[in-house]
Amino acid sequence: MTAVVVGTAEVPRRRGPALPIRADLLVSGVIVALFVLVAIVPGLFTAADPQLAVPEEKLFAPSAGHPFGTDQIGRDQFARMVHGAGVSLWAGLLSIVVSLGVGGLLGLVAGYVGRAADTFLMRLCDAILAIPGLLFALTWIAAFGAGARSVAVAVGIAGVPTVARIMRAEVQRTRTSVYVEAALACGVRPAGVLFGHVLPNSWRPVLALAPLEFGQALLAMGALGYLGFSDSTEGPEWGALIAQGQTYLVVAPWLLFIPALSLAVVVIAVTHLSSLRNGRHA
Amino acid sequence: MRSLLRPTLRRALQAVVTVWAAYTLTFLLLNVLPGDAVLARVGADTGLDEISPEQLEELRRSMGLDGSPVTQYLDRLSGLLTGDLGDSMRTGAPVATTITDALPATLGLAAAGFVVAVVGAAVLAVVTVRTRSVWLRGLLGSLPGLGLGLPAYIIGPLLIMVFSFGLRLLPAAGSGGPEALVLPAVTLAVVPGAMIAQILVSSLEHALAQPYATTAVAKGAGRLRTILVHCLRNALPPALAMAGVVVGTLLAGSVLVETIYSRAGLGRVMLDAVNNVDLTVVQGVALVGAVAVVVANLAADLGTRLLDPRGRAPRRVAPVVPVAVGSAS
Repeated sequence: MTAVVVGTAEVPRRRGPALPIRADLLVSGVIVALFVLVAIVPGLFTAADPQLAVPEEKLFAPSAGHPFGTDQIGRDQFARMVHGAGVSLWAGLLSIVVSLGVGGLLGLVAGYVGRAADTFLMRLCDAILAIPGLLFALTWIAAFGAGARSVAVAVGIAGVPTVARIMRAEVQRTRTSVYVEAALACGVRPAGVLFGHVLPNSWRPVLALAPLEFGQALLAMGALGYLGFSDSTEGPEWGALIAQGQTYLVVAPWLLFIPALSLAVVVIAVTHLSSLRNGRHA
Repeated sequence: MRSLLRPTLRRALQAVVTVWAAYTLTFLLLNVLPGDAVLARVGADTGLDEISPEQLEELRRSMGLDGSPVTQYLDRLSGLLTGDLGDSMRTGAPVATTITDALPATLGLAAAGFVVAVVGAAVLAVVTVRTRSVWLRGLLGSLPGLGLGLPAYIIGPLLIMVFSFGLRLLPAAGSGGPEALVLPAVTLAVVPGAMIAQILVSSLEHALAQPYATTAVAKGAGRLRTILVHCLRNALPPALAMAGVVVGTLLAGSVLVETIYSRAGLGRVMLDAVNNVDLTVVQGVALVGAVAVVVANLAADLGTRLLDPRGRAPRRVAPVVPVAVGSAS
């Protein structure tokens, strides 16, 4: 009898409510869609110039004219956030392109070629994984300089091992399948087998990783922005706005908590969507 | 115990290889790939205009950057074996000393963060699994996911806003006194704590559904006792497997926390080094990070073997049939 109780305690959580559309998914989806829209067409949301400083309007509290207030030299904080979203979005996309591209390629080679190449590439991944992500990104910045693009590449490289490992496992699984054996037996060249048969059957789990990697990239970009390494001509990235807000914490707390909570909400929404997607896959 | 020795030695050897590979990787990044560290160094200090080729050559020698990359690398590596990490390119002080001076502050912070993370995650996970209230379980179960979206640079300034300037309970900055450690430790603990809690909740749920848990309940153990005495030990290995990630997150987080709360430590050393293009120091700190992560992984591996007798046996024994029957009923 008690065994039944132990069992049923799990059931409602796993199945989820029987709604046609789950509210949490809907909210997360709307948040992410809004973020992407803001990032792509900032002009739609604000006409104010993010760089225009009006010294007599400095540190204004949020109002109708300045929904998120103004910063220490009188720039409209809402405009700065709206334009900063674009930096975060493009940097996040660049970093997942790097991690999926480089990681996918490494995993493909390691899984398909095997032997020494496999050992070498996997040890390389171990080496990247051993250095904590932020320290790796900082090392990269020390070598190649700061700036949003450099930081995005650094964050992308730090994500390479995870992607490479999954790709490698998928390729190893595919490589031993009957259709690959058949293709080889029919005399298809190795490159043809690799790109015609192995790759099309092994990239999906890697792509499913993209939203999660994107959320991680947003967080990492924010961290490096907070530390002052992701200057961009487009405008400040949200992490940099948080750092700036911390300086004026006492006189203008909105400069801190609006960007901080916004970034957290976007990241949580992205991660929530990706975890559910991956959960359904498993 | 003897059967533990060989795999442990093998893992230790792998760990050394990984540290070496990480060191080589940072060497390649910092010393070979990007143009010229000396020029970057000079540029960071004075601007590139007024410097003669002789002065550059002299600088190069003093920074140990003359000779081919291969001889430089071998020089550094042999130095590393004797604990010599080279000298700071900016101050000339030995990197090893710089790091050992800054290390205690960061270790203290990381240890405090670790304790908060582990205790918080364990309590959260046990309560989440223990409760029969669906809404409480839903609420608690969603906390780890939220925590993962609250890295130090978001939660830290918010905590300062509430607890230092709002409620005036705790200091917002500085390294002195135990009360100055509370906010930094909590800030540092949120993300690793969320990671551990997430893993622990799912592995505890899995353990609770196992036949031995059912047996314990059938023999009259309460739900809490079943969780703590029977399930927790078996739910630990997946959480232990996260040790490397957790230690890495704590170290990376302490870079942020030390900046947020203006504390001294390894993170500040790293940031100053990056800002001043002090490449030997950058490489030294990255190496310390890699060693910490690798050692944590090694310890976790050993811990898992100690916890799980199956890993110790020379050959894995197939599950006994009656257990499988029990789980089906």
